[in-house]
Amino acid sequence: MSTASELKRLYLKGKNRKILAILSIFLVLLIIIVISVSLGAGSPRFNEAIQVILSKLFPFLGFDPGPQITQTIIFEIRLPRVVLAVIAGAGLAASGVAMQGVLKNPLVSPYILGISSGAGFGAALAIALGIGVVTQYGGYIVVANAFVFSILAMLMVYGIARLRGVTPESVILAGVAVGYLFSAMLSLIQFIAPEHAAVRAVVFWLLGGLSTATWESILIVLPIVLVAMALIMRHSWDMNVMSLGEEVAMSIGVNSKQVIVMCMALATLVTASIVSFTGVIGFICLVSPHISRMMIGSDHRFLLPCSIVLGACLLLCADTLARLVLMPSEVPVGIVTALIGVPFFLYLLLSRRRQFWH
Amino acid sequence: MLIIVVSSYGVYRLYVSSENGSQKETVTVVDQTGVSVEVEVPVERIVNIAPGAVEIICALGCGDKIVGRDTYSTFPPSMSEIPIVGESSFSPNLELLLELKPDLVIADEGLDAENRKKIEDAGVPVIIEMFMEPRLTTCIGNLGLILNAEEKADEFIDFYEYYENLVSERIKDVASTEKPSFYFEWYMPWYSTRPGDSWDELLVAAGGTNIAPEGPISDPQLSPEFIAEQNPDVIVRMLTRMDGEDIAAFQALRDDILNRPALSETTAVKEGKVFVIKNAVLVLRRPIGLLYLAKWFHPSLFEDIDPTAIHEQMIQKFFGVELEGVYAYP
Repeated sequence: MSTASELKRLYLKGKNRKILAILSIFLVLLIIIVISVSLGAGSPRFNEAIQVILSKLFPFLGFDPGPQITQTIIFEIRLPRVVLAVIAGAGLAASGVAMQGVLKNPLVSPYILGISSGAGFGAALAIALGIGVVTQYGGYIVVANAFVFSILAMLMVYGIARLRGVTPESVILAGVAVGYLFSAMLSLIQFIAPEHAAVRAVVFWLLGGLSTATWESILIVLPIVLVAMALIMRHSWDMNVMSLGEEVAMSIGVNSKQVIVMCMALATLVTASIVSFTGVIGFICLVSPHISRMMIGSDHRFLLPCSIVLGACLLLCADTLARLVLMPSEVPVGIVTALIGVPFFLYLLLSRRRQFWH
Repeated sequence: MLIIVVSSYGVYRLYVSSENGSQKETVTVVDQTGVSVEVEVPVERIVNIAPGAVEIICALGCGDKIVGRDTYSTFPPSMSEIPIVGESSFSPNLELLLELKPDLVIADEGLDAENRKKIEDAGVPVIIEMFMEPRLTTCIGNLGLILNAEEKADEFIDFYEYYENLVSERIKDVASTEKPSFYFEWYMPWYSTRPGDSWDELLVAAGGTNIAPEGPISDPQLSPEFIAEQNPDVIVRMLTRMDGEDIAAFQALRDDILNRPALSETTAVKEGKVFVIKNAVLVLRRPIGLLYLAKWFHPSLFEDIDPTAIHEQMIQKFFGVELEGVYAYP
């Protein structure tokens, strides 16, 4: 057997193993979705939930949706929340992969690059001081502010980085600086806020939560996340090439600068649109790519989809626990995400001998 | 000569002593922290950094004795001319504060032990109080003594107690099954108050039943599906300064609740029993808040009561100004 065909056989074997891993995580995600829809502070459980969902999805099949209150609980409260958790987890994980990939740095997340600080500042401006970029749309004042300021933060990062040529180092350093700037301004708002209640409200927003999930918010977030994920996916091969070094990338015809700017823009857009609705849920973007890398290696064509389904799993798990542990009260999801994510992450880190980051 | 006065307010003892041969007279009161504070009377210069106290001091006719304040002490309007010595009790500027040469500093729990000691070391007595139930009447009584305005203090306490008694009299025969269930929401969506806490006590005194469960968290974020299933008869949302103060701010908060899909099936939303109330009348002017709530919970029992009119009278009588702004909606 020639070496070439032996290599190809090994490659295909590895490829199949990776696809299998991704499919298994997807299956786990489906199971968690079913469990999550069946549990909550309200009384409806598995049977009622399935009936309501089937009757709404396939009205012509004649399923009995049950009493109105059950329909409201399942279809207006629990299901939108589960769906938003899946979308948000997936989107945050995808943006984590994109940023770590193009900046070739394992510690990078949209959070270290100042996006979350921008969002937090924007939200605090609206919550504590009532200053909004839009004033017409009631509940969306905070959302719009968070979105606009996180995009603004990223534009500032890009503008500063450009002065020294767009390289991973310049982007990261500019991001850290902008992040500190917005953090300081956020603290300033909390310090001068006219009410203690306002300070608390800002803190709770920063801790993150999905309790305000509605179909309306999903309709806004979903298209952005889907399109951006697809576009990031198209750059996965470029990210593979870039990991071999800038000279190699250039010789193959990949324009590193362009890829960095494109992927950063997409990752920012995704993160900003999610975080504006959910508050700062930091851990997912950092940790999902790492866990996925430990499981299936760093080929971005597989790493990205793997990370996406894993991120959805993690956030949905965290949010379901956040709803259940102190029932009927809830815990901010940001706390739970880190509490369950860290042990899982450490377990994988300590139980494998391979080197995951090169 | 030592005169011991047994307080008519019950929970504490106080001693008024006047030393033979000297002009010095002191009043000793026990504050919330359990410290006996000896204050030389008459007090002429007060720095008040307890937002709960300013309305009481002014109602006792001693507003002109306040020489320094925190940023929250904004009513009555004359306060705007008084210099600010700190954002709140958490962060007083001691240099500014002591420069005003106060005879007495009134602060709330935010004042830490070090700052209290520094002020006391400078020879200025410090009283720490939250000016909240269950110590509210005690606090008013204490201030009455210190400010030599016992009559006014009694009048003020009588006003409070008159309306508190009126409400409790009228709802005492209401069966617990007739008491509407309420969901109380303060500054953020789904954040409520657990039974036994300060907000809850007021709403229960007004004849409602809290849907929130007992629990370890004082202001729990309730699950929306839990609220939907509990099906509250009335929803009360608190408005704070950060929401705005004009009628539009009240409407916006009410509309937000009416339009939440999770609440669409509740009796409160279906019957339009969603009310917004300003926090000022839930804390400082508690009887006014109590009357609004009682009327919302039991409209037929309080048909003859007009909380806004009583509020206007109160402001007229104790502060001598006209009531301005919105306090409850609709």
